[in-house]
Amino acid sequence: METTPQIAPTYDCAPTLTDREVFEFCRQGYLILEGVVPDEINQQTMSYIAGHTEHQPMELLTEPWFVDGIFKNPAAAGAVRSLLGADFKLPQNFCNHRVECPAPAQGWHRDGGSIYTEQLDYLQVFYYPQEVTPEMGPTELIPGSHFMRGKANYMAHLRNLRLAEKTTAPAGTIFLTVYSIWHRKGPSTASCIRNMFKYNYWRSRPPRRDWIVDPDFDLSWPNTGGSPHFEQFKLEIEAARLFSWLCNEDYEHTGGQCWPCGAPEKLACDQEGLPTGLRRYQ
Amino acid sequence: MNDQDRIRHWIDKLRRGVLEESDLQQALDDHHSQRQHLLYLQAASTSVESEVLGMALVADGQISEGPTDPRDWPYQTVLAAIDDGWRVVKFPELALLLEEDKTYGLGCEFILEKLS
Repeated sequence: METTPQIAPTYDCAPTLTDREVFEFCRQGYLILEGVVPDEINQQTMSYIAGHTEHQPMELLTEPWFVDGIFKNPAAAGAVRSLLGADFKLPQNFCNHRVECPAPAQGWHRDGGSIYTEQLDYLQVFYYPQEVTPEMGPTELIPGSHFMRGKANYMAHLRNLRLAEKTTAPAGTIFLTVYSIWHRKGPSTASCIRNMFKYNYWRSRPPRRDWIVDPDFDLSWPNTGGSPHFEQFKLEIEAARLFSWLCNEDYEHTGGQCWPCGAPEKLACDQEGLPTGLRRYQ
Repeated sequence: MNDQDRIRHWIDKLRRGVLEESDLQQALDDHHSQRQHLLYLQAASTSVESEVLGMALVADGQISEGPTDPRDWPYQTVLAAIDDGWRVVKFPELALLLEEDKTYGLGCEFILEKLS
């Protein structure tokens, strides 16, 4: 039987992220919103999927309590609105990664359909309806890996990675990711079922800097430190490219010491190479 | 008994005139029964002294991740693994890294082996 989603194709709300948070998302490739879904929605979701163990319990898309509580969750939707702009498209497909623990780790991968892009036209979002402890094999992510080219078939020998971040989280946690980020299900030792929903939002409008603009955030002189899996400044340069695209600003990295090279102190001038529309000093 | 000790033992038997065919057969059998163990180490740079960012061990027919906490990993550098008897069988492939405006893969990968 065909299931017709009762959700509107697009949604709008107020953006909730600031310049700093958007830049950090560009750099890390993910944003974790801990415990933002109310307990009653988490419990209702857990009750439903206890009786619907299929990979895609699609009837949830017709349930207003689920659509409003998860897809339109104020914190999550506000973050999506910040990154994808007004009238973003709601998920029309999703799945529940239901894992019987204990289980070995999944291989590191980026999901099928991943491309390397300097744009952000969609987000892959995860929702934990239950608390996920380290023993329950939380999803692990490699910060910044959305900027690393790689084929999933060529990652299969990778195992224990120093840079991996576990998404250990309380119930009701939603985390947003750049679709192509490298990730895996972590190894689990607990005896339980771990549920995790996964779905995508899409952009419908051209990008513009219409999230919460913070006049105190100094874009010129980021102090983000290094990351050992990138050449010096490379992660920041790629993040700057993505951030500029989100701001609808032209950016060209000319090489040498220019934006977004780090500096130990904020200087009272714009760094060479900062896009015109982002400058504070003319 | 490692290979060097075993050979010294046979030389000693040869000198004493008591080396037997069975000794050499045993050497042959041992050689054929050796299994390869692999250690994958992803490092921050092509230097064997750089920090190890990732590891996987293939030993005795099992693949393992090693300790969860990187501080407990058996080797913090490739050099430490070499010093412990691991032999490098593959160095990071620099030929694949020449597009300087792009970032590929995760770290510089060394593959090492032991036979036992």
